[in-house]
Amino acid sequence: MTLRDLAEAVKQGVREAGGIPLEFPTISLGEELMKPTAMLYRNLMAMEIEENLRSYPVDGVILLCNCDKTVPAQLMGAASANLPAIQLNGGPKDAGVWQGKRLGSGTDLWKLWDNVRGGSLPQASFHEIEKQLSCGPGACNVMGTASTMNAISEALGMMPAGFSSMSVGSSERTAGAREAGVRIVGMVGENLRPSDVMTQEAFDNAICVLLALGGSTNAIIHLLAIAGRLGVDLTLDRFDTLSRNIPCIADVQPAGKHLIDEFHEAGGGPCRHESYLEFLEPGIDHVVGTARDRGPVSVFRSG
Amino acid sequence: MTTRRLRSHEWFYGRDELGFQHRGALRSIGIDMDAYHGQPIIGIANS
Repeated sequence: MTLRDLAEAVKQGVREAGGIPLEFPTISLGEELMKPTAMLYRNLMAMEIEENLRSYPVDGVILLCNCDKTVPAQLMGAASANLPAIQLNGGPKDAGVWQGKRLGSGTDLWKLWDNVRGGSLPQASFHEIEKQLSCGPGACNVMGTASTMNAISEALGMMPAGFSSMSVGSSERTAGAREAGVRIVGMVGENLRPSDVMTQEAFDNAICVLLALGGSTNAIIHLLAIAGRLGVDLTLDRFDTLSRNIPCIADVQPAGKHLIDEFHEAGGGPCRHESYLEFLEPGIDHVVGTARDRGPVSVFRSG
Repeated sequence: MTTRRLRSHEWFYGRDELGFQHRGALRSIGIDMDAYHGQPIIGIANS
């Protein structure tokens, strides 16, 4: 539902800019429901995206994602097809409330389940929590893999700055989707492709953002796969090197205490929060340079 | 609007049978191909 609404906003922007929007469905990797794991289907989705873009008459694409594996899958497919592309996520779900406590969908579940198993929380209460934890559409509202990968898409330059943590269904998200529709038409004119955006320096930025957020370690697997599609030389050594200089500065669950909506209110996505750029400065000149000067490369700061 | 030749033009500019088929496919989903003059085609991949 949320992605359908976003698609309509994108279409409006595309038409305003003089383009013709063509929405098409793709495989959806529902993280909670696919067994044994949605990870088995990430590469299938990447192939599907690549072949859709290669075989259909599209000049550019808006990629609508949200959950953990859909983000890297789309970036991998777009990288291989190498047509102008912008990625937009659906956003984090609203926080449910149980007994006055705001619930983190990817963190409190495990804590409270441990309490049930330990006998300190009745099963009936756990049922109440289930209703609150599944309180609406959107991705997990903590810095799990979904929020991490969407923040990384920003850092790579493939998602509008500040977009990833906007609330599901918010007016700023809808406006951003319309703007992306306008922008992708411009990018087709500029012939700005994923290989121009997701450079070696962009991957350094993505790794620094991952570290600064205290994001999901799953991101390492996905970043290596995306880099592989682009022929970017990225190994675990690079994560090791950068991690020696980058502190975790985001106070968001599971590494910290806040939820994604509070993270957003505090400045949000890594590409619009000044403190991320500031901490990148000491000792990592090329990262600072690209972080501060990424404007002409990032899909959203060039227009 | 771009003046560069786009890859979608390969589908829609031709006056041959294939161009006929391609334009017809877009007409069938409500796109006015009489107004088509080489505009960029933007895919929206909805997962």
